[in-house]
Amino acid sequence: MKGAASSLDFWLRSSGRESRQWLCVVTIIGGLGIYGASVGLWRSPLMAAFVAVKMPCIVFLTLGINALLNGMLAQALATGLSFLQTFRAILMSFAVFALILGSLSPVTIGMAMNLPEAGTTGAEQAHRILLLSHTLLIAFAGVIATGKLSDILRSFAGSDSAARRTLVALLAGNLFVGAQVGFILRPVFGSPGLKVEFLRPDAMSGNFYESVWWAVCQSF
Amino acid sequence: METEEPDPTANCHPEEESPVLQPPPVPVIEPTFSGVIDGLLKRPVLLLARVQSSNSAAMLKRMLVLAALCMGAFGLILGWVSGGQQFWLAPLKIVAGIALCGLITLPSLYIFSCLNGHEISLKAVAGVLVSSLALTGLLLMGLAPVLWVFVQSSESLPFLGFLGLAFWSIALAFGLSLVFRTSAAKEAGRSPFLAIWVAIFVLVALQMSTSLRPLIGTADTILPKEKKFFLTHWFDEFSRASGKTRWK
Repeated sequence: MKGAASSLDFWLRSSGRESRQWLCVVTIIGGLGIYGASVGLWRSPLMAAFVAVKMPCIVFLTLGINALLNGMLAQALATGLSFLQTFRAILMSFAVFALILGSLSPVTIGMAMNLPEAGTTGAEQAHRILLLSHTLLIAFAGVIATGKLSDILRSFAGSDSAARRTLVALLAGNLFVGAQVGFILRPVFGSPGLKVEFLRPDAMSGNFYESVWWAVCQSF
Repeated sequence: METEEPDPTANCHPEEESPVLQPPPVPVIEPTFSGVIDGLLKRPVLLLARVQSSNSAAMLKRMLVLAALCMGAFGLILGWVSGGQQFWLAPLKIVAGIALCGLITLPSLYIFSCLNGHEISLKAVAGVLVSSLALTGLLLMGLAPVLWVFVQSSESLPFLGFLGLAFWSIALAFGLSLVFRTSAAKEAGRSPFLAIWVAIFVLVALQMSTSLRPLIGTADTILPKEKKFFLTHWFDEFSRASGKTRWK
């Protein structure tokens, strides 16, 4: 619970049951599942169920797609971590991320239940408030989890510069892929004007970065 | 791939009687695929010393196979954009193009290494180049699943071309860093010669990608009929894509 770097470092060096990797998986499913439900709850209970499934999926898909690259980068940047240890280190940082968001889910559930519902007066404003609040909370949890990952890398690599380089490389890769995985698994926040569905019909059409580029071009 | 996992209890009981301190064993890089991958990622300096020794043929052979397989896998994902004959043409063009680049730039790497003050043979320089390409291939292999996700969800050739180029640049930066590590290992003074060679290699590789086009997308012929400078080709493709409704 404390996410102490020394404990995380010991788990990382352990094997089998001592490595706690399944505990991390369960924590991510539980923490992000509850938080995801709170994100979708404002739109509808069905949307809450969908997002509860999708949030952990975003994490696991991102981890899976980047597993090979993360392992290679950690080794090439001289942290001394193996493929499996790199995977576990990132899994642990996501578990910390999930714990923080899971602990905040009673607050976000309360917010969802007390704001004007979709389809009523003020729904658009409520949607904007929710979007901003969740973005801030996710960013906050992300910063804390990144700090834990940084501590793990530093204690393992024994060199601040190697740990810093690796952290930047791992973060860049995970953010780059995570944004696209999130784009494919949209809707997550559930715009009030669009219908509730697990995946959009055009889920595999276009990508996050093209959409950003398109939005920028439309703005000027 | 196995790694030397440190014992977590190693430093936990300092009061216990410690054995006589022994110098740490010098790691040996086996000329196997797993040994080569391990050496490229974790012990590049040791690997470079090994490939510059006299009995490096088996290791070089495996690194060449590794580079070809990894770059071929990356090419397969690029070929996935258009499918059809690009499934085999794109991997073939990428492997052949990089091999040609290596051959074209090998003499200049040898000369520039000598100018840099290295006492090095042509065979040893070839070993360094093969190591660089093998590491580049490994990184491209690691980036291939990421590229695949975007290939599945995007039809924009300029975007996918840019992404492929960005991934290739990242992998190449790691791969060509081995050339500079050789320089550091030889305790040679810093010199612009190797930096100039890297710039030459990058230019040759970029032009090669244009000369062997299309690597992504389709064309009537396997190789282009028209000769183009790579910047002109990029500008033409971007202008053509900008004219389509998607980018309006």
